[in-house]
Amino acid sequence: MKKNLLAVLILALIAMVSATAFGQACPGSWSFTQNSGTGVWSVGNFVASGSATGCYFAAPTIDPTYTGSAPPTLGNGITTNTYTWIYNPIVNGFVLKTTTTTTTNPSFGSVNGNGVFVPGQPVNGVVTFGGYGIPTNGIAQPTYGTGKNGVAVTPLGPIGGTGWTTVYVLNGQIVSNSVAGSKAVTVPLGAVAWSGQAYDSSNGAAMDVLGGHGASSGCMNCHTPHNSGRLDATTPSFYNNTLGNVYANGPSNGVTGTYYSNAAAGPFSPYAPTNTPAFVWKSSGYGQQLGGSLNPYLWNHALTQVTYNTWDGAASAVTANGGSVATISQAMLVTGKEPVVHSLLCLSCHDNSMNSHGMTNQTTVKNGTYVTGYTNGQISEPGVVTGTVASAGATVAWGQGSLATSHPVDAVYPADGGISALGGSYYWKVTPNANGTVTYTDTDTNQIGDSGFYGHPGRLYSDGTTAWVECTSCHNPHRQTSPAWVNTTGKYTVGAYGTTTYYIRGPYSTLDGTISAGFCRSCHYDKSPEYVANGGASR
Amino acid sequence: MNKTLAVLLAMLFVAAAAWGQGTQFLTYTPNADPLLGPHNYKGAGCTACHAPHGVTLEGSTGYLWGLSIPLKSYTVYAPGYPGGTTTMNTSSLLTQDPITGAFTPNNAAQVDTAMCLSCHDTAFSGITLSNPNNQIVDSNGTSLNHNHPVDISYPLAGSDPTLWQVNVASGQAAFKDASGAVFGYGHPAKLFVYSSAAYVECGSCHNPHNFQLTVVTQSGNPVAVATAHFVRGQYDTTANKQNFCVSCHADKSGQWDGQGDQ
Repeated sequence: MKKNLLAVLILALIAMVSATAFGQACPGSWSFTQNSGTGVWSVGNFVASGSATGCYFAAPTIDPTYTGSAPPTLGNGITTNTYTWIYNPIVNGFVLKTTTTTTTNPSFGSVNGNGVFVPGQPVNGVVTFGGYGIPTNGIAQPTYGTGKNGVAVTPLGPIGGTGWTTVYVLNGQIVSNSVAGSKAVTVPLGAVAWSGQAYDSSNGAAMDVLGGHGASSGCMNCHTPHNSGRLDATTPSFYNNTLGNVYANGPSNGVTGTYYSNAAAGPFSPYAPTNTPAFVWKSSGYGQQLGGSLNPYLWNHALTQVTYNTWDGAASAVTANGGSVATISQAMLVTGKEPVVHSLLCLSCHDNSMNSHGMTNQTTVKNGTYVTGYTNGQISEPGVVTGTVASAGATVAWGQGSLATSHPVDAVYPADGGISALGGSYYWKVTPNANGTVTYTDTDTNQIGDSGFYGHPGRLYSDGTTAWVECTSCHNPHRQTSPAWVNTTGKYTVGAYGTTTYYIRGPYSTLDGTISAGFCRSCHYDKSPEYVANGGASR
Repeated sequence: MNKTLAVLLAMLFVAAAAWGQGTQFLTYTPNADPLLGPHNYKGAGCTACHAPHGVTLEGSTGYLWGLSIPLKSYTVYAPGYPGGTTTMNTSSLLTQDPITGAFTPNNAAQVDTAMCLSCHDTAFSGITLSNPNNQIVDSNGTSLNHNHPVDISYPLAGSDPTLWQVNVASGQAAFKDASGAVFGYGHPAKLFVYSSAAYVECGSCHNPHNFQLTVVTQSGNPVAVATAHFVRGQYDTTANKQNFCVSCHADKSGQWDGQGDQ
C-alpha cells in the first residue's frame, strides 16, 4: 500500500490480551489512517465484528515518529494499548462504554458535579452517561444536552452510539439500564434515586425480574397478601382528587365534598358510585382497593378516581386537550373481567396524582405537588383544567389526566383484524374468549420474518365478546428485562429469543429495530413481513 | 433470528449474573429490517418515528408521531400552468396545546408532508440522511419547489380529464377505477383528505413502512410487489416506474380514453 495515499483505511487486528475474570478482548479491529504528507499514522474507529458484552478493546496510542508504510502494530508504531471496556451486565442489547484506563480493569463510576462520568466504584444511585452502541464506523456521535439543574453534560469520549444510557446502580452493581433514544436525559448529579433494596430471588442475579417495580417492597409494592377486599386501614387518609391534598382523618377545615369512609367493604361498593367522589380513601399499605371478583389482583393501591381522556383513534375526534373523546375511569369496572382494570391498576402509580411513593425514573410528584409538563415515568399528562392557561408550560395540577398522546389503551382490537383498504386486515385475527383471554387464531407456522418467529407476545383482554388493548397488552409489570410469553407451540417462552426493556412483553431492543419492530408487528400485521408475503391477505 | 443466535442470547442472559465473565454476541445490523429499510433509523424500529407515549402530535391525525415538526414556511412547486411556486406554511398547520405542549394538526392532509420534514428537512432535523438525495429541501432551508408538488389538491371527479377520477366520501379518497379494471397496474397512490378535498402529499407516492416490498391491488387482486424508494406501488422495471406515475396521470397512460370518465 502506498504511503502517500490519503485516508487509506487499513484494518489491523488488535493484539489479543489474555482474558481476565472481567472479560476478554472484544472481537474486531482498529482502523488506521496514514497522512499522505507526513506519513504519520492516526487511529480511527474500532470496527467490531459483532457486539459483545463484558469485553474490552485496546485503543492504541500511535508513535508519532513512526512513518512506516505498514499499519502500526503493538511494539512497532503503537506504544501503548489503552483498555476500553464494553460492558453489559443486563444483556439487553446494550453495549456500554465506561471509560478508559491504561492499567487495571476499570469499573463503573458515577457522574460528578460537572456531569462528567468519572470511573470508579459505583454507588447506589443512577448514573447517566453518553456513548453506548456498537463501536463501528458510520454511526454518528450522540448529541449531548444539558443535565439536571442546567449543568452541562460532557461525555467522556464516546466511541459511537446514538444517545444516552441510564444505569441504575444498587449496592455497587448495575441492576438496570434503559436508553433514552437520541435525546439527552437529566443527570441526577449524585442523587440517590434508587433507594430501595431490590429483592433478589434469581440466584445471585443483580436484579429481580421485577426491576423497578420490585424496589422497596417487592411484590407488596403492588399487591397485599392479606386483607384483600377489606378497607380497614388503621391510619386512614383521604385524598382530594381536585386539590391533590391528603387528609389524615378525612377532609376538615371547611373543605367540603363527598367522601367515603374506610368502614365500607366489598369490591367496588365504595368506588362504583353514581357520582364522582371528590375524596377517596387513599391506601396506606394496610388494605387494598379491589375485592370480590377482582380479588386475584390483591391490589394494594387506591384506584384513581380520575377520568382520563384516551386516544380513541376516531377520525373525527380532533379536539383540544388531547384530541380525544374516549375516556377510561373506574366507573367502568363493573365485572371482574373488565379489561380496563389492566390500565387502571397501572395508573395507581403512574399517575402521580395517586402515587404514594413516586417514580424511580424521574421526578417524584406526590400529593399536592404541582408540576409542569410531562416527565418521564408519568403516563398521564397534566390534564384538562378549567379557565385560561396563560401560556405554554403553565403549571397545572395533576389529577384530571389525559392519556391521549399515548398509544391507545382500552381500545378495541378488531377480532376480525379490521378490513384494510386493500381488502386484507390491519391486524392479526383473534378470538376473544369467555374467560377473559384472547387467542390469536393465526396458526401458520411457515411464517417468515421476525414477527412470525416472534409469535404474538402482546396480550389482549376479553370482556367475553370483544378484545381490548390495555397498558399491560404491551407491558408485563413483572418482567423488566426477561420477557415470557406463550409462543406458537403453546408453551411459555422465557428469554430464549432475547431480552427486553421497559417491561415490554416480547423481545425488544432499543438498538435493533428489527427486534423492536417485531413486537409492534405482533399486533400490527399490515406492517409486517408476513403481510407482504401473504400478498396482503388477512391472517 | 436463527437458532444459534437464540442460544447465544440465552447464554447472555445466564452470563448477566456473572458480570461479563465471557464474551457474547448480539447481532446488530442497522437498516436490515426488510420493510422499514433506512427508516429503521439507528436501529430504533417503529420508535424512530412513533412514540408509544408522549407524542408530539395530538389527536387522531397525530399518528403517534414522536418527532418534532419544523414550523416554518416552505416554497413549494405550484402545479398546472404557468406553474411557478406557492407556499406551504407548517407553522399555521399546528395548534399547540398549552398544557401538554403537543400539537393538534389543523390540516389532516398537510400534516403528512410535515411529518416527513421532521427528518427530511435536515436543516431542521440536523440528521445525516443515508442518501444525500433524500434531503428534499434546498440548501436555503425553505425551498421545496424543485420537487413534485406536495400539499396540492387533486381535482375531484369530473373536473380534470387528464387525471384518473377520484371520489371523496367519508373522509377517504378512492379512485373510481379502484379495482384496476381499466388500468391493470392499479392506483396505489394515496390521496389525503381534508375538508372534503383530496390532496397530494409526500405520502401519496411514498409509504414510509415499505422500503422494497409492498402490497397493492392490481387488476382487482391484492398482490405483493417489489418497489424502491418507499414508492407505494410496483416500482422496479422501467415500465413499472412509468406505471406508478400514470396511475394518477391518466393522460400519460395507454389506457386513457381521453374522456376523463375513468
